[in-house]
Amino acid sequence: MTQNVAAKLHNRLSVLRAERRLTRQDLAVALAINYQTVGYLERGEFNPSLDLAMRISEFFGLPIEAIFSRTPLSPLSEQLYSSSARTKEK
Amino acid sequence: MQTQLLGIPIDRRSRRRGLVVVLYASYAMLVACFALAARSGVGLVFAAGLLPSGLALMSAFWALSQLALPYATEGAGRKEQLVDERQLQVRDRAFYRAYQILSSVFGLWVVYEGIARTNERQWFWVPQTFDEYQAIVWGYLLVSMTLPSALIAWTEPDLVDSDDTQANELRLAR
Repeated sequence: MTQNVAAKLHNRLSVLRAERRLTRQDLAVALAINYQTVGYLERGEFNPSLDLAMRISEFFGLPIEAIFSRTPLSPLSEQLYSSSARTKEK
Repeated sequence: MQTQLLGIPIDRRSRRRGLVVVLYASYAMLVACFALAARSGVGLVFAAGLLPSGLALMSAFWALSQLALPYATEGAGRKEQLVDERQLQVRDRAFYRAYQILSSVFGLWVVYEGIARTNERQWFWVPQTFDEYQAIVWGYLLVSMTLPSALIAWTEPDLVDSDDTQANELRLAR
């Protein structure tokens, strides 16, 4: 049986972009891509190449797995507070 | 993809599809006008059909070539265009699909003409005159030149960016 190699890649691009108060145009210029492609990436309609994923990761200063995932991503705030609660418990 | 041509917005897919329809319909009209002119004289047919359909064909051809310009690679006297990996994928897919369609149509035509010419009862239409062959050859050339762009124009979704409002708010907030 063949595997679906082009499975949807979930990402946090729109959240990260909004946090930094960037427009799609700003992000597109920074990544040297077309601004429409940013929209496609955010909506998960286009999976980036490894090169582009690394450029995005470098731009946001985050590891790739914090931005992209093969499974749906939970909200960043939820992750942050659950991890800080775990730290307090220790 | 361009979002405007001579100030006319073409960000909606329906408009781009309209352009593709105009291109091929104007060619069909041009051929019909030539056929009519051959039978009933050139003067009136030229004014009524040949000139408008010729102009429509040229305009649609130009517009479609402009529309797909950002998908062109660098060089060929063009300014450097920002073509990213998604656009390259879209372009390559369109060229591949166009090649599949054109080669299939050509193959089917060869088979059809072979059957039609050997059919003694002449049930099938085949081009007989030089004009009929001209119409088919020029039509095939037109389609082969425009099909990749037409496929991109036809299939790419609306380019209206839902982020535009948010972008304006961000600009104002700065």
